[in-house]
Amino acid sequence: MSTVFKRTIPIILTILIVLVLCVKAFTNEPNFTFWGQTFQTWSSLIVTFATFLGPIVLLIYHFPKIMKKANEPIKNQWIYSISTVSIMIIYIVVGVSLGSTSTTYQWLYNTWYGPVSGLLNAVTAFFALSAIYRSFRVRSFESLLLIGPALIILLYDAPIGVTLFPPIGPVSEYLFAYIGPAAFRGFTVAASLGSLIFCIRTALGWERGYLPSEGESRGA
Amino acid sequence: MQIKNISSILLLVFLFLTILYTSYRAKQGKVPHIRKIPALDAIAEAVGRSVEMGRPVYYPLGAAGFGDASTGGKMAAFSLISYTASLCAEKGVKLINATIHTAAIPVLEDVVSQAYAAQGVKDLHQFSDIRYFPDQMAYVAGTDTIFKYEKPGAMIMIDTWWAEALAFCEIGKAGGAFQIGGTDYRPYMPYFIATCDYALIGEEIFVASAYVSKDPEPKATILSEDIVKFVILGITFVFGVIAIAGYTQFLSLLTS
Repeated sequence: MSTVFKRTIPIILTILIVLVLCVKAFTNEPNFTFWGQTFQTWSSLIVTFATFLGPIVLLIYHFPKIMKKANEPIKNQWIYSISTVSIMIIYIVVGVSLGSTSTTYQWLYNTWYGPVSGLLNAVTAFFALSAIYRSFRVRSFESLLLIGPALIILLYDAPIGVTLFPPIGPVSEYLFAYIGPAAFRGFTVAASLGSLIFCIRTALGWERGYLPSEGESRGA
Repeated sequence: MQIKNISSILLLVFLFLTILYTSYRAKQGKVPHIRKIPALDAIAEAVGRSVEMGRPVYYPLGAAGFGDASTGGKMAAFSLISYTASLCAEKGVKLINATIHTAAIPVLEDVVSQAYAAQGVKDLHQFSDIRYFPDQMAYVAGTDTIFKYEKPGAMIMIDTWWAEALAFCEIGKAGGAFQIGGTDYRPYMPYFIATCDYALIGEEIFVASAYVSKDPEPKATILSEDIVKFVILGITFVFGVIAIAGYTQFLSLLTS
């Protein structure tokens, strides 16, 4: 019974919904258009209901730590847990009672959340720098092929790059206009095709990774 | 009833027929040979390394959306999480998952807990091993905390990723984790190649679940993908020549 509910019914529903959405995409048949839109509305509703899971998961993680005055995984973890839960409650109360467009909520967002988020965004620039440093170490022939065009583009974008080495201008523009897009399009076509085949496998019920396992030792 | 996008329907029908043909051949015992994908073979190595170090394995999901064009990547990630969880359960190591999508939480819980239960080590997985971060930058900060205090031995990042990918890769590298990454989203692909020990490129993330599967049919679909890829290449070449020759009126056949 459990297998029927956990695997068979979800697979049948997946096949049915995929068929309806496929017909809706390729025809203007009103019944399929209606059911296709209905399924998409249901999907939005499910995602909206799942929003409530977020606070629940945070509480499941942090509440025991507050109750036990936990020092794991970090020292005085329980104090950080209290601050996390308190901030979450403040945002929920203000957001639900006054609305997310209210002055109070906007003040909370711009004063507390904005600077922290902006700071973390800025840190990503330093991560990019260290990643560039790592990728500029030639370890193989393939990495040499990556670095060649990268150096040319880097010099092209540098303020005095083209002044110092004039041929870099047309070479970079050629790379941007022809070599780059050709590789991008190859990548995009292959990735889209891979995604399409994956979706067909899911529609045929061969792809069951999103369902609980049937007790097999491993495998998708 | 009016039919739209006839060229797309023809391609889809051709794709479907090749899948049926290759899967029929696979059932007859003619399973196509699939070349080794080192990044996928390295998942077992990553889990083994974590066991030796006595540290957990970390598999975060990308921040890319759920219910849009990125859903295929998410579904592929769930297949690989199921595989990774089975390996972790087999070796007795903890798997930590993280996401910014609340809708992914029940799927993750179901897939991971069942994988642990199948190996008889249900107690090794707790619901609190699935971490939720409500925002992209909170996700980066949370991952940094996980690396600082829980010190995962390996991080597997195969999914559709956005800009947080670079921060994750660098945090993992600084934390000394063995890293396997992959995405089908082109702009962030170079991050994985530059920073991970092994990287899956583009479509490889979609063949991953078929690669690790024991069933012949999913493996056969990889051959159909290659057949259709060559057909698309042929069509591109033929219509490219037609366009260069100046007969542009024929190009409308591709968009009808």
